[in-house]
Amino acid sequence: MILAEEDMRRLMAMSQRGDKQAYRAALSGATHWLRRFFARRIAAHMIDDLVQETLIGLHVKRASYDARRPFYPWLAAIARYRWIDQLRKLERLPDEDVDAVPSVPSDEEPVLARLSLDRLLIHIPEGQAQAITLTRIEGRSIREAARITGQSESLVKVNIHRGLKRLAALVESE
Amino acid sequence: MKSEHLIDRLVEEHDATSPMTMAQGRLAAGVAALGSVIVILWLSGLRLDIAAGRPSPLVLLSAGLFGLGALASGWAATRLAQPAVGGSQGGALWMVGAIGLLPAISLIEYLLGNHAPTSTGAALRCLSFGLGASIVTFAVLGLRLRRGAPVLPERAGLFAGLSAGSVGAFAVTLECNYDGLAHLTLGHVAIVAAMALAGRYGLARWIRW
Repeated sequence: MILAEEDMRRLMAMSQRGDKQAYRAALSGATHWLRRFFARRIAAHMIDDLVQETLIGLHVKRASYDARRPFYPWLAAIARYRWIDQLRKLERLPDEDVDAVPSVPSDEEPVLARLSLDRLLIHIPEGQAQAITLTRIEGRSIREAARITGQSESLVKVNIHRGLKRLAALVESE
Repeated sequence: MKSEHLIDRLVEEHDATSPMTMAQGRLAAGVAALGSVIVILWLSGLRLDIAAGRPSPLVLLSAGLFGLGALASGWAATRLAQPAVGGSQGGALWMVGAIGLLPAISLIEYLLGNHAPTSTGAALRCLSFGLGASIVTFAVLGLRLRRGAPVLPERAGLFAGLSAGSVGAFAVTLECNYDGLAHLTLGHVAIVAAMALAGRYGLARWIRW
C-alpha cells in the first residue's frame, strides 16, 4: 500500500531520531511507491534492482531529507537520478513485456503522476524520447528502433545520447 | 537479494541522523563568506574612496552585483544539496548573469575606442587575492553538497563556484584601488569565471554519488 505524504514525512522524521521501526515502515512504504514509479519505465525484470539501488540511495543520503519539506518530491528526485543512471548503463536489453507491472493510474495517485517519469520524457524532443523508450526501456535493438522511428541507426544513437543528457538536466523539473 | 532482505540490512545499519536544513547550509556559507571578506579587508584595508566615504558609483555597482550574485548562487547551491522535484534555479542564474554586464560593457567600450589602459600586474594581483578569498566559501559549499544528495551535480558545482567566486570578487572590489571596467573584467569578473569552471568541472565530480 502506498502511504500518504503526511505519513511518510512523519515516519522519516521519527527515523531520523533513531526509530528503527519507523524506518522499516518508511522503507517499505518507499518500496511500494518506487515499484509503481518505475513501472513501464524500465524493463520489468530490472525494477527490483532499480528499487533496491534507490533504497540504498535513500539510506545513504537520508540526512539530506528535511522532514519539514514534502517527502515524495525528494524521493522522486533520487529515483529519477538512479533511473537515468540505469538507462545510461544499459546497452541492449532482452525483449520482454514491459506491461508486466501495472502502470501508474494517474487518477488514483495524483502525487505519483505529477512526479512520474513520463512527465520527464515529455520535456525532451520526441525523437529522443522515442529512441530512449524503444532501446533503453523496451529493450529493442538500435536497428529495430531505427526501423520503427524512421531514423537512421546513427541518429538513434545520437538521440539516445543527447536525450539522456537532457533528461539528466531535467531531473528536478515537474 | 530481495527488497525485504535489503530493508532488514538497512534498518540494522540505521542510527539517528542529524537532518540537513537549508538554513544551516546558508548560515555556514554566509559565515564563511563574511569571514573571507573580513580577512581580505584586514589584510589590505578598504579602498581609499570607500574609506573616505565617497565610493565611486562603478565600485558600488560592481560590489552590488558581486554581492547579490554570491547570495543568489549560494542560495541555489544549498538548495541543490537537498533534491526535490519541482525545484528551479533560473532566477539565480539570471542574477549571476547580471555580473556579465561588466565585461559586456567593457567590450563595448573597447570596441568604441573608449578604453583606458589597464595594468596586467594589478589584474593578476586582484585575481590571486580574489581566488584566495573564494576558497573557504567554496570548501564550505562543496562539503555541504558532498554530504547532501545533489541530483544535478554539474549545476550544483557551478552554483557553488559562482557563489564562492562572487564572494572573492566582492571582497577584492572593496579593497582594490584600481578603477575602470577593463580592470574589473580582468581582475574581478575573472575570479567568478575561474571559480565557476572549478565548480562545474572539478567540484561536480567530487559531489557525484
